[in-house]
Amino acid sequence: MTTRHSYGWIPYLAPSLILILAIAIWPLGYAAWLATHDFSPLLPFDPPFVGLGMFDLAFSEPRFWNGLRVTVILLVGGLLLQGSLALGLALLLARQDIVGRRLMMMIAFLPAFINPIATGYIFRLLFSPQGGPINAFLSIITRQDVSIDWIGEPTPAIIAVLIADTWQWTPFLTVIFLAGIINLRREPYEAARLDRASAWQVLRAITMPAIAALVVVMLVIRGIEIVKIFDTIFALTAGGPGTSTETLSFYAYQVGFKSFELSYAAAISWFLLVVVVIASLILFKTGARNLFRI
Amino acid sequence: MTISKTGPGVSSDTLNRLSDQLLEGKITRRQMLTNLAVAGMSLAAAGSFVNAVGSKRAAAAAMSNYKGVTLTLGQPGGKFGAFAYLEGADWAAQTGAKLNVVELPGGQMYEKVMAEFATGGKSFDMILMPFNQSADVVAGGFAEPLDDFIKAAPLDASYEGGGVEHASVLAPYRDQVIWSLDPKTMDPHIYHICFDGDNHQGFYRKDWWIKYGEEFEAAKGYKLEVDNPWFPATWKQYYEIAEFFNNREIDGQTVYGHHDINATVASTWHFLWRYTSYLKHGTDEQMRAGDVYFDSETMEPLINNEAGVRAMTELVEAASEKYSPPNAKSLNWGDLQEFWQSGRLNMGMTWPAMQKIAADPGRSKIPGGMASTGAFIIPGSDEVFDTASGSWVAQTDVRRRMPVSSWGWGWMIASTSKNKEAAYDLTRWMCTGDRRRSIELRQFAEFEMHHDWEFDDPQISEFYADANPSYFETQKQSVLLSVPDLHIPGQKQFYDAIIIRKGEALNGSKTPKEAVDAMAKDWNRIVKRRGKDSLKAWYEKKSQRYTLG
Repeated sequence: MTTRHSYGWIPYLAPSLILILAIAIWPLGYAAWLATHDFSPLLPFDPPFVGLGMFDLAFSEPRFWNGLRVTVILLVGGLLLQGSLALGLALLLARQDIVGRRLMMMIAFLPAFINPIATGYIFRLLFSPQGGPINAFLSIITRQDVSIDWIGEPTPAIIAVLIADTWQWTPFLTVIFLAGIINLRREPYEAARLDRASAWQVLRAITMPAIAALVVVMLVIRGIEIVKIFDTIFALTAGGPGTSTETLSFYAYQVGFKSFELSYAAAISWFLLVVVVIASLILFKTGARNLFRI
Repeated sequence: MTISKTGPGVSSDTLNRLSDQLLEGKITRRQMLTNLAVAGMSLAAAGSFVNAVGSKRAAAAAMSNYKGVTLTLGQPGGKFGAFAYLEGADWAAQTGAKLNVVELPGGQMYEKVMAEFATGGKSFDMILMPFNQSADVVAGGFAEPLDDFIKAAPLDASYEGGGVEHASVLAPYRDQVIWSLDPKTMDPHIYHICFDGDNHQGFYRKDWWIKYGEEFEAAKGYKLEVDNPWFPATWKQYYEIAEFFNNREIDGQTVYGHHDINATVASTWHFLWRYTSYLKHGTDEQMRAGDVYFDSETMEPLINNEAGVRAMTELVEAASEKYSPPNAKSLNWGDLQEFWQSGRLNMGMTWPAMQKIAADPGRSKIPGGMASTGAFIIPGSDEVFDTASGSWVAQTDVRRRMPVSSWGWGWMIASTSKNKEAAYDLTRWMCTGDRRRSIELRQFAEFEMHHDWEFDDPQISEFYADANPSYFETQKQSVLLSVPDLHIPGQKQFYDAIIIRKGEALNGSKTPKEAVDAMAKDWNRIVKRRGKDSLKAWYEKKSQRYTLG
């Protein structure tokens, strides 16, 4: 039996393919070229091919490892915080007896509309060690004079970035999770009610497995965004104090756009890309099955 | 030329049309007078109006015709850019040119300008660039040398004489800061027209020093010398004054002894001027020519010597609550202004804008405004680290000061500009004469005097009358005694290393010694990356003066 190939799809898909090539593939390819050569517009020589030399340079640089450390801290902390908060809020809002649920959803979702740069500046004011509202609020609830230097000390600065990012993106996750929950079939819940299952048993045996795939996908997407985080850090801490909140993305910006070491910045970016792709594949393969095995 | 007010019975459109025609020479004064009278204006009013427009024509006749030319300016936005919209617009109206002003973030001029030029962009005809960050612009071949432009007229000529008042610029700027090296020949050329006499100097609440002078003298054994630009003479005195006033209740609020800028790019100099105060490297003349950053033979950084360690140690200590507001480690230039204008700060050191801020009724809560302020030159030290002997030696000259120039702005013309002559003409207009004076007198502007005539100008003197006798002398001496910023390719990266390592010392993740050692390591890496031989040649040549002959 012979198979007939149809090429009639080409004219229809060609424009999209060209666009994808131009916007995504070509820049990736150029970044790969940059990462394997030694190019800086500030240096007078023609860029030589250096193979993996830029990656060697990155791996021998303490600031690279610091950037990786900060990225992992924000990633793990962010996913735990945002994932658990969003899930909890979604479960709460999924209850039929919540008055004003729609209004609450609308208001809660507003932070997602705010530009991350604006979020960074807003939180910079909130966290200001000179009479900022957050220190004032903490002073009221603890009945002590709280004067944390959120921007000037390494640990508070990372916490500040986490809080700002969580405030901005938890509502987005909440809405997605909520949509998943309220669209689940009702029959298993009715059956569980008839069997007098407890709320925890319903959550563990019915709700969580049903939305596991959705949760994994959203956590992967959010994780990628956290790894790429730049604007909030730029406005809130500028990577400081010192390099305490300098993620790998921010470090790549510093070396690429302040020092114009474009090849080195490209190597860092490619490293991040490879790590994120591998991690995502692993999570997709195993996550849904294992993530909620309680 | 646009006229917004109309004469009696005459529309503004008619007035504008007739004015343009007169300025362009299409009609005579008599014809304009006749037209206005026919349109209904009284002869007296018409006569006055024609004379006003006609005198503009006389001034315009001294100016070149750049009709059809569009100049694109790259400059900081906000109040820094006001002059382009005022003085620049005036020039454009009289020459027929058009201005396209591109506003860039002031703290990111280097990144934005270099990204444009290094990627082959030709958007800008001229840029307002910090002097210290311009070496890469020059080394990349992106800036036009201005020597021939300047020499086309007498060096002391103002705009009307075809000049740019080059001779009257104070020598440290004129002969040290505004020139760089031709990237091909390594010959010195001028690449900037000086626009701002930035320097750092001290400021304090004179009213408090008077009020608490006796108490201070009883406690410390020496007077608070109000109106003396040379006091405090040493860093030791400075810290004692800061400690005395810190956390004191004055006028119903807690005030603070002093405030360093510890975050963002402005924080660099708070390390550097302590460092240069404690350093002896060759002669003072050699240091004031810029030879304080590297060993010029080996290009080994000098900044982690004992003067650098001491500077960093004191900087960290100065951020403590013994001297400063709480959480001083993260305070920036905006915080400094806020503390000062809210009347909660005794003293600090930064650009000379603090007197203008004190005088601004829209901002300042300082009673008495500028009259309650004083100024002083960055302190010195009674001992210095001598790099020749590797030891600390006594220093007895109470007037030995080494303040770093601390930034400064100048106009550069892009080498790719197709309108270099027009760009230079605009620069001359903005940087000289009445325009220069009006910028200085504008309260919201933060550009400082840098021509010698400005210090004798009656209007400027009257503006700052309340801040004198210390302010003018402080500012002038701070420039004359200044050590220039590092001004070689890679300067931005060298100074970024200072900011990062200083931040690590302040937050305790490194000791001061570890921080300056890490800084030196960063500098070594940058030198290696940029080419040691090339940077050595730059550093050696830039550690000299270049006088345009």
